[in-house]
Amino acid sequence: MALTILNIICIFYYNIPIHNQCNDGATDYKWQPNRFYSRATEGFAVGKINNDGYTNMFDYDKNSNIDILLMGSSHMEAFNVAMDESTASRLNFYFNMNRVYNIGISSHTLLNCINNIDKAINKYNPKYIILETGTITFSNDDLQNLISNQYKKIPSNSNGIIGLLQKNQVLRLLYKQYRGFKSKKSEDLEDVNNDFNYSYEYEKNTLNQKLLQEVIKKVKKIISKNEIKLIIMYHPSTTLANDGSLILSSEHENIEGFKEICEQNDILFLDMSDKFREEYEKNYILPYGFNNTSVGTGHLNKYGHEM
Amino acid sequence: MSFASIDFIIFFIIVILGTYIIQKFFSKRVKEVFLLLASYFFYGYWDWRFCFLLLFVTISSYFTAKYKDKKGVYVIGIVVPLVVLGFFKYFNFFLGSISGIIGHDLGVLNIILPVGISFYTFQALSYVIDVKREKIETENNFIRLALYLSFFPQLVAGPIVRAADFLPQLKEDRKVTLDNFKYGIQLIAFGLFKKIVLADHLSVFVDDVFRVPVAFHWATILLAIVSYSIQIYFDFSGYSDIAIGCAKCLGYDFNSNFNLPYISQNVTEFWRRWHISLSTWLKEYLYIPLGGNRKGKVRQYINLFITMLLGGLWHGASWTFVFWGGLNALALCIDKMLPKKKEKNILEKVLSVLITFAFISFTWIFFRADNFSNAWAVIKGIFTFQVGIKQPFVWSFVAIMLLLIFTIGAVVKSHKNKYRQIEGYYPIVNLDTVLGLTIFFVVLGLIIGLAFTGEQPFVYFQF
Repeated sequence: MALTILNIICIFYYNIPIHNQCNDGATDYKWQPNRFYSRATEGFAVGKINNDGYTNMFDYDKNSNIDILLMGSSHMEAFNVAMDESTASRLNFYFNMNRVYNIGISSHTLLNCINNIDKAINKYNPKYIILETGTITFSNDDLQNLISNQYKKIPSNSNGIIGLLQKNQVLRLLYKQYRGFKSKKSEDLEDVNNDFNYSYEYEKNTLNQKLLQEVIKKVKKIISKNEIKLIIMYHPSTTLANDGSLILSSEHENIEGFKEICEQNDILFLDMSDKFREEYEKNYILPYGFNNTSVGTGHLNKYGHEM
Repeated sequence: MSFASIDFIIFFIIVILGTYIIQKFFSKRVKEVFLLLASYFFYGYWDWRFCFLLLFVTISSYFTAKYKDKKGVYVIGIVVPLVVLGFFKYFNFFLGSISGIIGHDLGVLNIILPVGISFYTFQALSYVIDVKREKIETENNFIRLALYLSFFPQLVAGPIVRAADFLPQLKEDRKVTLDNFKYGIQLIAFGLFKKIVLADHLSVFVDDVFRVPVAFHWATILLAIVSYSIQIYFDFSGYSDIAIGCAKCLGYDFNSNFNLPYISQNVTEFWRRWHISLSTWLKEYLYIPLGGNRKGKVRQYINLFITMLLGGLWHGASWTFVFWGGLNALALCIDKMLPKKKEKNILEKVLSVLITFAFISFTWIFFRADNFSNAWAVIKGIFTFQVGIKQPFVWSFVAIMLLLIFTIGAVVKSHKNKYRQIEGYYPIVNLDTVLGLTIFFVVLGLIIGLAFTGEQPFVYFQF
């Protein structure tokens, strides 16, 4: 009886679908299609996964034209904001049509997205692709693996006993909490940490220009063949300094090198640093954090998506 | 080992089962030795070296109480715990303060503050003093005295259990029983809910604001101050509930340490309801020996100031704590000066509660702030109507709402039962019924599901 009551509470508090294998390869995995979700552990959002397994306000129709394809991590997935507040929804409202399609999904770093980009193009055939990333520095091993087509896919864990247990939301929440207790970290920030701390870890390393050149050239080859314009949207993490000013993780030497490589390969590099700083200095608005989490950390909030 | 950890859950299960088995098959003495070893293990889990310090204080208290009538021995019994406390907790503080006065850096010693030192040294002091005052008999059983000073539920953050309350219980045949367990486990759950669900979530917001007060909007700072008032209450009273619950599961009773402090209508009442074990300790072993209110008004005010300033210093080796104590002393003196109105109407009562809460919350700024400039930045932010980040933190409103609900519940219950004053209560359910068990497991599920999982030690561990 207690488990039933807790499951009812979980419908509104923590109701997350499971990841399924993505057979078309556009992403490493995708969500259970047509599934209601809610999440109040970081921000509060309810919504429905579309028929294709992604967080879009409309269903996927293979005959419709997609102008802009959004790829990225849990930030782009926007599980923490209302569906109409995500970047994808805002762009659709802006263009007044459903031609911006979002396949952003948790734990997909820039390298995961690049690894899947040709398959995503095959399926969605967009005119533009926006790759969202919170980091621009990567380990040499990862870059090497990507170049040699040996970059590992993230498993969906949807089969077997783990897949079965994931279907019960209470058990899933308890497991999430258990992992949090064990690591003494909030599991909600785990995805973000995967993206951001990745960059912290390698921030001290200088950008491996040669390897990155090869990766970007590889991307360029794919997008040129398909006549697609690629935009890499970089959003740095933020911290408040003791004097109240905003510190952005983009303030390191790698950013210029990365930007240069993108420009050399006709890729538009969109750095959100100035916009983030401007919004904070003018309106005291931070792109990350929610009214139930720490200020300025975590996933993109509704202002972050709007920016 | 923190109460809010998986390690403690495993430890506690082993202790409960072990005690249960021992009491069935072995003598009371074996049980006492087992609980003593468990308590030292619990303490040594942080840093095993400090077990020797605890043992040293215990040996000192044991022998000085035993030979209290010999000249100078009683003084040693008082001095040893004070020197231990003074060295580990205040040495660097005084060195730093002297450095500041003489304008010459005297350096600092690399001293680690042993967890719970303020609590067990106070218990040791009260034992020796009470024996000397002949309020209690000398404890000749060393194991028993050692267990009193190290008993793990109250060892690291209180409540400060008095020897007169606890030693007689050790002499009785207290047992782990199903009834005790059913009651104790609910107190533990209640305490955990206060601590890991409410207090720890609030700490996220409070820490943000106090780290960079200049970045936040004045209304957000105000909400953070209110949130801290509630955080520290839930944190510390949650710890006390867990401690009381753990002791209850093992068959022992601790007095309650909090009694709805935020419904106090003045600061004097607040100190009767807040951290009761400390305030009664200070009253009995400091304020009254200083003369209390027996030597005229001026002496009473001086005594109040001495007591509260030292009480502030007890909380932490920092001038902000001393200042916090001073503010409370000032309020206590003003309260003593004001004429007492016999019966207040409901509006006056509510207004008194709000004013007292506002004052206490203001004093908490100095308690929470890292230093005076940090406290000043917080105060300045409010009074200059600072613009900045607005953060209507959801957990603050949840905590305020729950506090109000439980307070109203206590007011209604107290009126219904015709208590002389409003008394707090534990929402205990009957675990023999399906409904009771369902409620308990739902609450347990909510505690785990809603808990803040980041690192957030109990606030009073630092004291």
